[in-house]
Amino acid sequence: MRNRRRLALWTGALVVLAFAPALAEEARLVERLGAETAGEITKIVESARAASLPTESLVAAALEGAAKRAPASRIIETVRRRAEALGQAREALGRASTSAELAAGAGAILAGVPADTLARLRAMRPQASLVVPLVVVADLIARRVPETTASAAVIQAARLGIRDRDLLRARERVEQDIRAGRTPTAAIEARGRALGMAFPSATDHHRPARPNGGTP
Amino acid sequence: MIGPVFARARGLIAAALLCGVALPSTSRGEVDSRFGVGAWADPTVPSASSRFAPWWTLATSSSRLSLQGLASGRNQSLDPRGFMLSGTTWLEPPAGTGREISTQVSQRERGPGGELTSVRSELRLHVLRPERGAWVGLGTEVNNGAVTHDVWPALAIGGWARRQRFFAVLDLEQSVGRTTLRAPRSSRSSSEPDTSGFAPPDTAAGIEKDATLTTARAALQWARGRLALESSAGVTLSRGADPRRWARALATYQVLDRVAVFASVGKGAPALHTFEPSDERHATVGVSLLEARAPLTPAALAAAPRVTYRLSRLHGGRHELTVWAPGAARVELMGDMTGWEPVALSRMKYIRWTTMLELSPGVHQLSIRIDEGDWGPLPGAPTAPDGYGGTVSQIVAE
Repeated sequence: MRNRRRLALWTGALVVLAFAPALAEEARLVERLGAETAGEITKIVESARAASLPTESLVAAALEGAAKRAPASRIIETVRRRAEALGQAREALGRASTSAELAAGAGAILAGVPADTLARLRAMRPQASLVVPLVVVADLIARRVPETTASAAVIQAARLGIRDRDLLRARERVEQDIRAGRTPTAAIEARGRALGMAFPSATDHHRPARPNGGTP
Repeated sequence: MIGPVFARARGLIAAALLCGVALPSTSRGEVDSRFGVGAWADPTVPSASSRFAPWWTLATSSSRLSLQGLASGRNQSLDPRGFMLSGTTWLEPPAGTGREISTQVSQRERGPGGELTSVRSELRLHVLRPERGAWVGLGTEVNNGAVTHDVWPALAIGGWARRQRFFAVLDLEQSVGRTTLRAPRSSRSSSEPDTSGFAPPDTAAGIEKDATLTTARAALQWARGRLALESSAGVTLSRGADPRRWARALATYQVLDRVAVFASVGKGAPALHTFEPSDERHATVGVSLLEARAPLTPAALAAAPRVTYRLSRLHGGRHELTVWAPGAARVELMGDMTGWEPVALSRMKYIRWTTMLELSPGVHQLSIRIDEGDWGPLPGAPTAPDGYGGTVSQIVAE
């Protein structure tokens, strides 16, 4: 009898511990978004969780919308799109990908990076983290570098074995060049060439980039 | 010439404790106050009563004005007793230029029964670019005491550049200081007493007196994560005296959020008021409880013309985000790490603002706003669309 009571207590404690974060998360969503919107968001979050996708970025996107006073419909739509992007990222990057890679991959897809670029990056770097290349490609597109040029640049960086810190530094210089008045394409091409990348000439955009004579 | 400075470093071991309290307010015109107390110990001094030299400092700064007080204790083997008060105001830089006005009043003991009061005023004009800058200053220094020497005009000129983790400063500055004049050959052998009306201390090399010093300095700083290294070297010239070359290296390692250990070796430029003896070669070790980073020069700090940032990993998931925001009265951030709720950064010094963030490894999104303006990405950080028609910064935590 005493053992049963102890077992019941332990079971109850474990249940509380297991569901406490989710309950706290839901309470926070209700507090910031109202019960109705929070309910919709929770459904999307639960669905993602059931699909074994990381859900932190979904809750964060909802809270971000609340902070920016976005309409409820916009918040729900944004969270839904991010959940879809997380699924696409996992498909492209593989099931062994980390939560950080999936979050970065979803961000890249939402920025306009094709899922194919993610898959090619994974093929180039099957073991190493792709967080930095995915953040960089999303940033380049946000700075109006054409998607094909941005994707070609990070894929070549992966192929050339350029370290993450050097890639981040090159991104920073591209940003500085754009601020200084260079066009985004000219900036990425100049900084990429300094790292050994090759880009098609302005009159040759139909051909894929061939770094150092290799295949793209 | 720099090598022997370190090789012959005197066995002066100084233990310093710098502790501080920051008093930020949440209103505009935030004011930070810091105080520090400490003591220098010189084991080479035979007398126990003069072996320790206490000092204290108090600094208060707002977005445009900084005030600093410094007093050093009585110890003839280190700094003489004295105090220094200084104030600097930074006027809003209009389109790539800035003006800095500073005044400094100091008094210090000069030999038995003698005191020296000094007032220095200076105006500096800055030319500012994102990664480099230059300034020119014009000032005057008036001294009153048993031994007097005024300087007009006191000129200052310098430049700085910042690239990645490196920060370099080159400058040339004139000031009043104590120097040892070369004694004429005839008087070096003379044993006649001094009849000039004052009795400055004689040394084997010549006579000590106040004079206009012109100091050329080069400093380089490198910081990464918890470690910061700073080296400076220069030469101080004055008429009638031999050039004085000096060099100093400083290393700071941040152990905890507000606790750092530091060590230095060498000697600094001659100065009337310092925490530590500047004329002697020495080595120091110490603990700092505030301002754990190696300090940049005030002019260089004030001269950064645009918002920049640095993210430093401390321990575990603890990170320090530093934002340089010229002319800002309030800096806030919000992001996934704050549950997208605004958090005000603490103003540390001049234009430097910091906050501690708990970041899990991976990518994090955040926005900042200055002086209650619009929320936007952190300049210099990677960006991404936010899904609400705007842009956010993406920072990568290791």
